[in-house]
Amino acid sequence: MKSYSLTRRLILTVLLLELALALCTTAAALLYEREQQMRTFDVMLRGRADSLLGAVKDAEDAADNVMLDAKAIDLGRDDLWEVREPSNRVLDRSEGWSRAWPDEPGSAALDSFFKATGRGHNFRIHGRSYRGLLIRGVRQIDQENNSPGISRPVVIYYAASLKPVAATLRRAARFLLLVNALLLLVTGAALLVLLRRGLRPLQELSRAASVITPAHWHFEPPPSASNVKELAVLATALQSAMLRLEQSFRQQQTFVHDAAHELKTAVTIIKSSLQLLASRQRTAEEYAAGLETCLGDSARMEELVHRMLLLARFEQGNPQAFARPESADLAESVSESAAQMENFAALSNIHLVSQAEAAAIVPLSSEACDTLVNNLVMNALQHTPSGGCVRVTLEVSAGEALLTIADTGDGIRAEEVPHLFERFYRGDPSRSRRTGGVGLGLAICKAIADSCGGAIQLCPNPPQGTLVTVRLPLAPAGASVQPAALVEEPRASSPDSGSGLAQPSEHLLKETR
Amino acid sequence: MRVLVVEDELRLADNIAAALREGPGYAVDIAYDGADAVHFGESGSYDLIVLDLMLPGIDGLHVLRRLRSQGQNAPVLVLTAVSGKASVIELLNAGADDYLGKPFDLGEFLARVKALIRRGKGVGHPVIKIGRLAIDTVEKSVTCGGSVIELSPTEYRILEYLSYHPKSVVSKEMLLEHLYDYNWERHSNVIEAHISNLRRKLNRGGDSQWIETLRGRGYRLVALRQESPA
Repeated sequence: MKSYSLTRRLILTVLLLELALALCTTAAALLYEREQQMRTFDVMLRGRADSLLGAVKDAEDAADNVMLDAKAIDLGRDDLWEVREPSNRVLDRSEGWSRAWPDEPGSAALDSFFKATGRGHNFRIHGRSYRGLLIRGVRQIDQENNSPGISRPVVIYYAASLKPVAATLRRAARFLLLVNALLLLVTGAALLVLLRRGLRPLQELSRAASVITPAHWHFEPPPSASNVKELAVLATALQSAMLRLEQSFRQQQTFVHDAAHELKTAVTIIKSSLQLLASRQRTAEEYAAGLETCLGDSARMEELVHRMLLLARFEQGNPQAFARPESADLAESVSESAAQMENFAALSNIHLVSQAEAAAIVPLSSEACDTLVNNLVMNALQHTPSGGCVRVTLEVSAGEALLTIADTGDGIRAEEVPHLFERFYRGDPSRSRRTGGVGLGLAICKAIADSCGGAIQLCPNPPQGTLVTVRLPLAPAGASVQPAALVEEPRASSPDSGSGLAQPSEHLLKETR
Repeated sequence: MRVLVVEDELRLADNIAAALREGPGYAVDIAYDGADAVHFGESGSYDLIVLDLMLPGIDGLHVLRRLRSQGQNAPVLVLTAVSGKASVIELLNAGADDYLGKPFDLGEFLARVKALIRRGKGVGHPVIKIGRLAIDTVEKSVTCGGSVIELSPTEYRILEYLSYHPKSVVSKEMLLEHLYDYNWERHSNVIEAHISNLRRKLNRGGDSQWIETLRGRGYRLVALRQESPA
């Protein structure tokens, strides 16, 4: 779409509208003026015709001639007039008359020019406009010798040039158009100024928005914009959008920062291992052991990267989740996880009990469900000493799924609780060294629970151990459950280095609280 | 020399400790968190502290401040994965002597460690000269009047430590504290045996004593002005 200026478009529209209106009113005013002018003209014509009639009446001549002195009576010099008797005998006429009608037309012919309606009638002759009227009168001729006078009817044709009227109308039209043009100019200028002033808050708003950078997210809508009802909506929308963006940006930044720190450390370990190995001549056995160590270091780094990506994915949420909401049975994940961990539990001499009777369809992918349950169960197993017990229960009540994992392990300290879900937090360093975790397991679990509006909580489980409680909302009825077989294995696409991470249970072994 | 390594990452701590033990032959104690670091710093005498900035429990900067306020004067080399001028300035102002960004080069790390130890002892030149005796702290070699004296690692470490404190008395306890880490079974007669071996090697071909024994107080390395040509 072509870009356009709102100001220009608005001004143009208003001016065009005003021009059309001005033309209409000018036309109406001119029509009215013309009508008035014609009335005045008619009065003038009748006056002149009457004066003529009076003069004719007064003319005394036995031969019935009227000898008029046109200058004596006040008649227009260029007026056309003729005085006739009904018998078409012409008593007198103006000078112009014979020029207009040189062939002396009969009264019937003159009827097309002069109409006996009492009002003037316009006509053109020889390219000039005239308005004429016709009056009838009676002429008294006094007899000498005191005999009664003779009455003779007369017809007076009188016409005058419309030239002055046309000139007046032209002048009026010119005046009206000038005034309207001036009005248009004033309107245009006023509109421009008003629009400029009116749009200033918008400019201020855009100025405030344009200073936003990744380093400076603060957006305070200028008061001038907030006070404008139409702009306040935009300003508020911008402000909340900026807040959301900033939050997400900060989250990303923190993540990148944390990830960089962890990766730097991981790289340092590998690098120092290799440099240590190369620092002097060693035996073949020492080299083999050193390489084994380096391989272990890189496996741990791989695990770190994998978990960071997993966390990033769950924290950002699935953008397609709105279009294609996923749901899976948490009970299935619980029983699968219990089956997977059975061997590990038996090896560590821990009693693992799982209880998931009813299906709990939650709005998560089955991958997310598996990750959540596996992480928590493995975590509990790792923090439970030999001879302990880990109990996993899944209940469905009041529209939510309640997953609890209780262990009889070494428990948690009160001061640890606020940090437990922090990324890369490793509670007890001696414990994290033992389990070799990367400190992302609980952060991932929290991200999964948060992604579907659930909650996760860790608290001491008296008399001994830890109790993890996960509350997840149930998926709306009718949501299709993803069959486990169709779920994409997240690691299937990435080439596996064969460093012992291929089996899920083994890389879960590295998880820690 | 005895070094305290404060690093929560088990593998990295092990590598650093191995490098310090294998290379310059230092005694190394490892603290895996801030609380341990403070505890070690209080009880042990160190010639250098290697401190990671990100630690569970008490973070590195607080550990540094605690150590300094306890009167710990050993040079501190900070390992950090955080880049940025502000944190570096804060670190140095809190009492750190140097810092190294992760991932670092092990060679550079060791060079910095040696330089910091030298500086901590008030020595500038990597080769310490006492009379005709020259102790190269980089190459770990000892020469006397140009001829090389072959020493065992422990003998070298004793001589190096003594050479950093010339003309002053170094007690057996000091030697034990600075040459062995916590895992070592300490016996003062081990020191005596090493000292006697060292003396024998240094005095080869001469009868003057480089190392004086002050009964009940310790040992003193003295510079001999002249040696009999015989």
